Amino acid sequence: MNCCERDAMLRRLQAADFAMIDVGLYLDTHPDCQSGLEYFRRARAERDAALNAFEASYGPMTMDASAAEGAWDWTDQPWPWEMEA
Amino acid sequence: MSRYNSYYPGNMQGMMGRTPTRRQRQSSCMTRSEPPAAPPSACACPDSTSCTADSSPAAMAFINRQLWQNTYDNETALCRGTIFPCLDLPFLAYRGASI
Repeated sequence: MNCCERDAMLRRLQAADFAMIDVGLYLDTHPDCQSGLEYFRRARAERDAALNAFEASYGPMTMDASAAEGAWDWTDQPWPWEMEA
Repeated sequence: MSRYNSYYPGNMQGMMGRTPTRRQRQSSCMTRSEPPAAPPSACACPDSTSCTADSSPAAMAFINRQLWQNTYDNETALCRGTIFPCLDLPFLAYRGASI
């Protein structure tokens, strides 16, 4: 496993996920802001792309992404405290 | 909230004209209840709901309405804790330190 590449993909996913959630908080109080809605759609697309790329290389991030065939594999990835510094 | 409307300065349009949030829009489905009565006051004020000299609230928080502006790129936003540069403010109130 290439840890540097894995970390970079994970970081990209974290950043895209954060952007989507943060603009979601903004939209909670600005539900009609078209700029915010456009940003949310773009952030969500980036998050989905980053998530799909990561899962394709390193396996499911969450339980629901597991194929649930052969083995229960979503817990196979290292836990946060097992990450290399 | 309405009983305090008269205390809003005229430039606080953000509070007065804001779009109701999802939580507020759904409030009709929830049971409304009056805020709990103030506990018996230990101070000598004759009116326990106003302990200030001019009967205005002792404290009132206010958050101005945010306008959409430019945003950080994703990586910078994650580092700074917000996608909005206008909310990326210095935090100066460290424990034991004065502002």
